[in-house]
Amino acid sequence: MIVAAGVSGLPRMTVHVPGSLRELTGGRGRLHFEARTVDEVLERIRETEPLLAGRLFADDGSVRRYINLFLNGSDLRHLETADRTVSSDSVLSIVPSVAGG
Amino acid sequence: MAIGAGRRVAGLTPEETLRYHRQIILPQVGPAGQERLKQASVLIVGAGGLGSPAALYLAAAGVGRLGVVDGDVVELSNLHRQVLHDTPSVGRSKTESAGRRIARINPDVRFEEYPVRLDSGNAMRVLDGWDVVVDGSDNFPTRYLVNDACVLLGIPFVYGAIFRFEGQASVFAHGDGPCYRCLFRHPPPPDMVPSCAEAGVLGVLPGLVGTIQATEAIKLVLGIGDPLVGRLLLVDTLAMQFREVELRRDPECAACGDAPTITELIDYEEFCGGGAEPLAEPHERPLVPEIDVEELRARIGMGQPPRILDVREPHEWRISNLEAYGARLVPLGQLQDVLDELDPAEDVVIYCRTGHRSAIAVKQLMSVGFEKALNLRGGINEWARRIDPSLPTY
Repeated sequence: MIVAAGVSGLPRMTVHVPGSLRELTGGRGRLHFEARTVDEVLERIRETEPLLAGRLFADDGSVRRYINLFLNGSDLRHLETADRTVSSDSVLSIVPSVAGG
Repeated sequence: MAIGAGRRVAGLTPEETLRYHRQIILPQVGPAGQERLKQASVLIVGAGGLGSPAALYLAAAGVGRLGVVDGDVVELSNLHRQVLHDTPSVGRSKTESAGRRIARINPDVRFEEYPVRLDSGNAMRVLDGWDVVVDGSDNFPTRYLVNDACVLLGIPFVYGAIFRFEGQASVFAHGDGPCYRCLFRHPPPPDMVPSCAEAGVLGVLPGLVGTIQATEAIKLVLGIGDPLVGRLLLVDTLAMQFREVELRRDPECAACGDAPTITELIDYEEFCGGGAEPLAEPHERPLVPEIDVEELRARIGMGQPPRILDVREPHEWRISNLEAYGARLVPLGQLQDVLDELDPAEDVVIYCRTGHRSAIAVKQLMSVGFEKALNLRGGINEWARRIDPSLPTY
């Protein structure tokens, strides 16, 4: 179920956490945040999910280069400012390196 | 554009026409496409979970020349997912096992085996001349090696990777599309991502992903459909969802960018910061503060026992544990839930089976201010071997 807006009135979007990182979120595969932009989402992650944030972000705040973040399928590194707005059906996908074969 | 288009066509024998009939009647394949498959060559790196279905389907589909690179032998614990091999093959080399199976499926396939571990010294020679490479390797050094060699040789490769219940697939180094380094510029630290041996893997998962890889290899050979170039397919078997994200070539990519710095193969073990052996015991690579089993015993004996956390799963706790010394079971996935109950200034020793998961736990605790967290080197198996042989190892 997609909730159009949270109590704050902001869009309530979804973050997909891959299985390899769910040990950092207490097993949760879906996180929901109320935010206007994807940058606010990242800030919410830093505030509320310190273990996950420690894995996603380097000390300088950038996303680590063995992890990629995609907003609605587009790499965050390539998104222009206008495209960083989130809506209630926005999905941020965390895609880490995995090597199993 | 089909790979190898323009090659002289050898034609199909009547038996081949019969064998591939259901495929030949596809308008996108036809007799010409089947002949193209017969003329094509595909090299599979790794005869494991991914390489198994890829090899089976590529052989059955009529790829004329099939190569398999793998330096391992078949183990019993491989068989729940590596369907290329069977029980009588346990102990045999994987390439030998692959060759026997492929010959039974399709004796017309020209099979070439490379019973070696791919490395910087042999990769260019082994990979050169193949039309398509399927990467079914199981470690980061080999993945970067396959990428760089394919970029340098101009060979497209079909990427697949798996972890527990999830997989990824894409086509790299094809045309103007991105390569693996465009997606993952750097490998993760060697202790960050557990191998399948440590984390487990659903047996059928590589069946799905490896079959996707075989499909993409066939599409590349035939030049049909939309290959996974510039797209990363994400497979989640628990949710049973297939999603995709867009990939772009990185102009700054060291391998395929506008000014590539990788003009020859490098030392991939060093690049990835550790041994390429995915089963290597993590305690051989001290990356977080550690404590030896003897030292822990001494501290317990002196009446200064630290807080001890066991981050394995409950079924493992039932096999062996350090409850007698006050150990508490907190599976790694629940560590976050008990942070409030722990004192960051307190000595904490964390153990698991062999020291891998506990190293991750120590890193997690350190990242939120625990300065005195220690990893028990070698885990409870090491404790069982050196301190308390009454405990079983597993």
